[in-house]
Amino acid sequence: MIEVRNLAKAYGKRTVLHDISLSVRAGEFLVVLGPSGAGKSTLLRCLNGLIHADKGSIVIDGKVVNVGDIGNREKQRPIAMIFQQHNLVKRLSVLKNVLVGRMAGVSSLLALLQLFRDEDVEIALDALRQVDLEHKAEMRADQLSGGEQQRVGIARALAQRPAVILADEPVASLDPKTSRVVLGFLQRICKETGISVICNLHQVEYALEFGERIVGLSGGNIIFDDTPDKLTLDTIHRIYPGLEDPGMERLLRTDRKTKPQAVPPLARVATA
Amino acid sequence: MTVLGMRFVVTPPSGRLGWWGIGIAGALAAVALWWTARGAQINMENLARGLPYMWDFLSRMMPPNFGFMNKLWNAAFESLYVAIWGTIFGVFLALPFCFFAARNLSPHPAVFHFMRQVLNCMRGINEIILALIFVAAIGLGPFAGVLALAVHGAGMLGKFFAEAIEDIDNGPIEAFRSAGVGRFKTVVFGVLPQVLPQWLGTIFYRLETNVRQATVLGMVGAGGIGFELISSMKLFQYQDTAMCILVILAMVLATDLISSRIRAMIR
Repeated sequence: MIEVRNLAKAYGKRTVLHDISLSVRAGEFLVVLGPSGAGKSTLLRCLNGLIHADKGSIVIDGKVVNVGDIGNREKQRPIAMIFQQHNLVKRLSVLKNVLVGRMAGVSSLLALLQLFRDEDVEIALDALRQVDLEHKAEMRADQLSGGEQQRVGIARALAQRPAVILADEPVASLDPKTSRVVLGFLQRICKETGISVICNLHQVEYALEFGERIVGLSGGNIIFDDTPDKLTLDTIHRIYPGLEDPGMERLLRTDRKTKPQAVPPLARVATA
Repeated sequence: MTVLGMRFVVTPPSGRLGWWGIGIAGALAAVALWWTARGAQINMENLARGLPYMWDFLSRMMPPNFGFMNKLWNAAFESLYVAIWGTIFGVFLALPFCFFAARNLSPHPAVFHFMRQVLNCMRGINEIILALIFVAAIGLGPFAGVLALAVHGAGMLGKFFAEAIEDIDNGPIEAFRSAGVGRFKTVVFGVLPQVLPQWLGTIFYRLETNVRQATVLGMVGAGGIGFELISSMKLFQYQDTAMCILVILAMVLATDLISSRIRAMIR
């Protein structure tokens, strides 16, 4: 469970986030929907301390963390992040990339000697197992396909044993088929481990399919916060002003009818 | 305008002075070059007069004294050892500087500029001059040459290492930061794997240069084949000198060949 309270961020005079408040239950898959420049990325970066917010606080496991302490590992459970470009170190092995998630607690000297605790290696291998890539642990990261690299990114986030996983446009550079596989893994992990997921997307269709709840962001304000079936064409037009897409209406209609929320067939792909 | 089926196709200069500007700049450059040529005492007449003497010098070198090779082996290998250890020391000397001399890792812009200037100074002093200093400090011999190459080489290696660090993909670094990984471990696992191929290429390139430099360090008493070269000349044993030059050429060409092969393999 994580709660964001009155988070705000401005760059000079340009306000990127106005007073954002939202909460995510444990094991909830929240999708943040919005056009480029709406502040989605800034929101996630403020939440794990990559960017310092101007004001606000977050509450993790009932503990209040103020703006200055966000990202401080002594004061909070980790908030992991998955990036659009996966951000793996290409010349390192898959396993070592996942071990980055455990590295914060490792002594520098031992790490330099490439020595890691058994326990940490087990956690990393287990994370790889959850994205079905344990058999590629010894391969170099750049030998994997784009979708597989993003799954390693998910495993790295998992290895941190986080309270929340933030995913910043995780499928923006993947093809539709691979995108659904990757989002499927993320959704399954969210359900099975109880880790909350906050996932930035700009594709409405994926938001409808994978989101348990959708937050619409526009101009740094939350203008929608509800379940996908409450999302109307009108709201979509408010999130994406000037959007002309005749297919959108059809998308919303068909979606209402064929919504097999709980466990999609993707879970089978994942275990295969 | 067409003349004899040819047309002059040039975009007119965009400056305010137009073609006049080009004319004035050209004239100024010509005057400046003439001035420097006078300063350098460039004199084709002298060159023409000197040609027979050059021919005389060359003919005295012929044929090279292959028997002198017996004496040269040791000196040639000494040059090679100086080059190898000059490179190794140079790498270790460059390492502590390069991280602070990289804009993206340096803790403060002032540190970055200071480190770059330190590296510039190290690189700015010629190897021969450094060798003279080290010979004066620790005495004649190859170790003075090693130190001279190390200091000059560290200046160059540090700069190239730092530039490689500045070119890395910053994405993984951000991922490390978001996972709460400290600076040192980020460098070991996030930066080094990304720069290693480039660094190795730079190190082998430096080794090539050092072999070339190590062959002349002996002239100032810092060990190696340069000593044989200069003493044979002083004794007017030009056939021995020719042999030295041949050996130096062979060494330089061989290292260039081997090193460029290795560098191609790393990429």
